[in-house]
This record gives sequence, structure tokens and C-alpha cells, in this order.
Amino acid sequence: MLIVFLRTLILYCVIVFGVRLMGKRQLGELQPSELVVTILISNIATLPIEEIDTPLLVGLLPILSLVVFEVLISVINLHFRPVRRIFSGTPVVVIHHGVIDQQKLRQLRYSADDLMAQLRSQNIYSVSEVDFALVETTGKLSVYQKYLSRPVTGETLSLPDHPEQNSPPLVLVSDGRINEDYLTLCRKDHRWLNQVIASHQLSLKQVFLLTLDQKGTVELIPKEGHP
Amino acid sequence: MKRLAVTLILLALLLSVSGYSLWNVFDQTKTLIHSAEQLRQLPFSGSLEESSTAFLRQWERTENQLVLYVNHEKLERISQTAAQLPALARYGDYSSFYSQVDLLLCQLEGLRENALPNYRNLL
Repeated sequence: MLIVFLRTLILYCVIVFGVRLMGKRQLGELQPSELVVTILISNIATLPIEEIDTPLLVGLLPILSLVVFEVLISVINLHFRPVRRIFSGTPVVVIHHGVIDQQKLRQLRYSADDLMAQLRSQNIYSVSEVDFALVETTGKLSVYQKYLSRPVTGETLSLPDHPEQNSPPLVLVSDGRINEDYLTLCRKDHRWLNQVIASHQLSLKQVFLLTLDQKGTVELIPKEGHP
Repeated sequence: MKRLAVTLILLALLLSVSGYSLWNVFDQTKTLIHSAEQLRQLPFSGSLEESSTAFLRQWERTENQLVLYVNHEKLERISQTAAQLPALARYGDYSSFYSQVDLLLCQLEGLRENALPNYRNLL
């Protein structure tokens, strides 16, 4: 039993390393080749865990090979468009100027119900609201609504721009730990941070959350038990 | 770029491990086949039992290396065959002894052939 436990631990570490090596692309919407690699890895990983007769190296080698192939293919895809078309395909326009291209939908084996389901998932309940839509290589439908159906924005209302309100508040302290990257991004230092915390009669370890926005507004939430 | 470098290092490592395992299986089985063939040619009398025991020890040492990249079940089968040889030689069951040596040769050849990236194994 201990062997199975240790093998699982080793494989877990290797797969986490592999997924990290494949990058953030792998964690979001999956391209066809990425989906294939994910399915294969999940299947291959179970074999050496379950079968103790199989050497661990025999299980690790195909997993790492798939990771290597995936990274190499993604690098090649980045530089060579024809290769990208083979491995990932191309986005297909299914609605243009509000008109559904039924032939393209048939080619994609996309039924009217599928189309409506995808639109509804984006809070669009009528095709008449859509000006342009395309099916991405990941299978996701991207929609550009007609002018009158789009949500009202500040630009539509010709409101003046406030650049200081464009950036979201950044977390500088989380659970008593300083986020150095965000601190640098906000052009602040430890001295300023300590002063802010001290002004609330708290120490760094007593801070649950501290955020700062571009206007300079600080929001500080102390840990429970510290008023 | 760092990711690509790590990937290329990993690729080189994987190819090296694969190449080394193939070379090692070939090298070890070659030595063992040679020893088994010598065993096959030994006369009934004499050092048949000692030679069988020596072969068994040789196999045990090799098995410790092969266990890293060969399915344990195949190695176990060879171990079983090799373990029978000293007793068969000791009690003079020569027909069984030589048939077991033949079986051993066949199993070792199979081990070697299974490691080869030829069309039979690939397809």
C-alpha cells in the first residue's frame, strides 16, 4: 500500500510540474491538441499507480513526452500559421451582419439549439440582438452585439474619462503577508505600508486584507479578534 | 524562452533515458544469452550445478537493473525459470534442465526483442 501511496505522490508531482510547464494556456479554454494531451495524461497516469508491476519510469516517460510535445507544438504554432491551422483549426464566422450562415453551422455540426444555448449562456435571448458571431477554435461562441443591444457604457453616454478609476484595487497584504509584486506595481515601499498599518493601530501580522486603488484609497480589514 | 529551454532539456533527458534503457537491455541480455548458451553446451557431468547457480546469481544482479524499465511480470517469469536450473542439475533431470535452458534463452530473446523499436513492436 505504501508503494501505491509513494507512486501516487511522485506522479502527482510530475503531473503538476508538467501542467505548470505547459503553462496557463492549458488551464483555460482547451485547444484540440491540449484537450487530447489532457485526456491522455489523465489516463496514462492511472496505469503505473494501479499496476505495481509496471516500472514507474515506464509511466513517467509517456507523461513527460506528451508535455514536451505539447510545449514544442505550441511554440511551433506560435511561429507557423499553417501548423496552427492543422493543430488548432480556425475560427468560423456563423453570424454576419445579423444573418446566420446555416451552411457553416452544418459544417460545424452545430444545431440551432446549440447556437441558442451558447447565446443564452451570454445573456442573449434573440438572434436579432447579434450582429457578428464566430465559433472559436476552442468551441466557444464569441458574440458582438448590435449597437442598440449592447450594454450602455461611459463612452456611449460621452462621459469624461477618469484614468485613476481604470485600475482595480490591488491586494498589498493578504493574511499578514506582503505581496511584493503589487507593492512595486503601486510604487510603494515597506515604510509606507508600515505607516498605513500603524495608523490603524495594527501590526502586519494582524492584517487580514489590505488593498490600494489608483486613487490612493486604502481598504484595510483586520484579522478576527483585532478591532 | 525559459519554458522552451526546460522543455528541450527534458526532451534530451527523455531521449537519453530511452536510449540508455535500450542499450542496457541489449547489453545485459547479450551477456545472459551468452551465459545461457554456455550452460546449454556443458556436459551432463561436472560443474553443471555450480554453473547454474552462478547463472542464477548473474540473473539476480541483472534483474535489479532491468526492474527499472522492464515490466516486472516478464522478469519474474525469467526468475522462475532460472531458479529451477540448480535443482534440476543437482538431481540429474537433464532433459528438463536443457528444456528449461531453451525456455530461458527464448525468454531472454523475447526481452531483447520487446525493447526494440521495430515495426512489430510499434504496430
